Amino acid sequence: MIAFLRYFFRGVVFLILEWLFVSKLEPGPGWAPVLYPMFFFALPIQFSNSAKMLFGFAFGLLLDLGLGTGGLHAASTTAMTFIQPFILRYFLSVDERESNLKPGPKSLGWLRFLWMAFWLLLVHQFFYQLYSLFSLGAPVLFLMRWIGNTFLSLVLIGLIQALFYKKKK
Amino acid sequence: MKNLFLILRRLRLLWVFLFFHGISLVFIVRQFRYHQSVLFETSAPITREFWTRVKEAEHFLFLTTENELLHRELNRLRKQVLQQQVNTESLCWDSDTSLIVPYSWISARLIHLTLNQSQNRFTIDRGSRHGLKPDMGVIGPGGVVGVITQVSPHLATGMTLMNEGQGLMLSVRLKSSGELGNLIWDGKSSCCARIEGLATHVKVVVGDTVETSGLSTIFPRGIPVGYILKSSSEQEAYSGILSMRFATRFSALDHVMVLNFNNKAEQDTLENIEMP
Repeated sequence: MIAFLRYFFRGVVFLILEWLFVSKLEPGPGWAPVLYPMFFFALPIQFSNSAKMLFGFAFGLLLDLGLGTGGLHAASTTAMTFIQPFILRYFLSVDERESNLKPGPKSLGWLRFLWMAFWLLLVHQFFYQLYSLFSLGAPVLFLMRWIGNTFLSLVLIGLIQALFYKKKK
Repeated sequence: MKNLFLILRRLRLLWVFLFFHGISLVFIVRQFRYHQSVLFETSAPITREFWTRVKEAEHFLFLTTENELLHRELNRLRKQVLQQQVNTESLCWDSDTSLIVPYSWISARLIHLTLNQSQNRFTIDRGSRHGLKPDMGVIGPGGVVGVITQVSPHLATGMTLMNEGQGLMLSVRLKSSGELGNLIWDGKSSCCARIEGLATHVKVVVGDTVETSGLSTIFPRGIPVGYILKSSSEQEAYSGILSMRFATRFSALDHVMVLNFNNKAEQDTLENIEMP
């Protein structure tokens, strides 16, 4: 129960951060880095996948309500949480998968964490940009926004992780 | 069935994803006008195609009803044409335009038909209860079909134009010249017959319509019987014998109309009075 409340409050903090600060970061038109996927990366491995998806959907929808983006965040977060177990399977060993590991730079190491974050952000941004452009008529623009926003979000998440990073004793 | 449930259960994560993703998409489309217009533009041809197919299937399923309605309409129009003809003719001879059409129609459906006998017969789903009597003419969408010979309360049988020998000997005429002749079926083909008794000097055009002469109480004048074919030999061409193709496609016959000449009894009585 305490763990659940902890995650809930952490989710609320991420929501507020996204509403008030991250959504205001707009280096140019169509550029919209996101920070909140970090919250879903850090959820324990043993967390039920369906629950994770429900959580992702609810979180995305609340974010959309606050930002007036319809269901863009809800759709992309749902897709990301759906893909997450399959990606984790490639990054984690059998022992790690059976433990109650919380993926992060501390537990996975920087390289593995950033690789995992990159693939998940790629999925997230793919759906976000696809639904936001809603057209296949501009593939170059789509590719630029997709890859660009993925890297921008990855840098943002890496920076935040580095700020709060504590070395193992 | 058990395996199906197992597969569905194994894919539960996918169902949950599709469900949430679907809801999100609905929210996106509801929020942005651009998305709505794109979706409408994309889905409009698909929707149109889908509903066209549905309508086609619906039309196919209700073809029988539509056919019956068309048949009724055809009945009405034929009556109107005949009334027009009667009025025009009466205007030529006298000023009485109050003449009424001497024929009425009874719709029927063919329930039996032979095509490969020497004496071909048909049965229809109307009988004496519907006002049918022997010696009533039967016509189809193309033209003349045959004549009623026997009648029971609910059914009636008759012979088609395809009757060899002493069968149906129909008085016909050529539409272009008005020349009279008799229709005879020689039993050789189910599509063609011969016209005999035409004057040898008559110039015949291939494709000319052969129609009923109206010189009987069975058929009124002008109902198509067939179309003139090219003469097979010169001898035939100069002997007053012509080949013709039936106007009625007997193999595709379904709905027919039985003609009732209202003045038949009167005409028969008058014609049977012996000369003093």
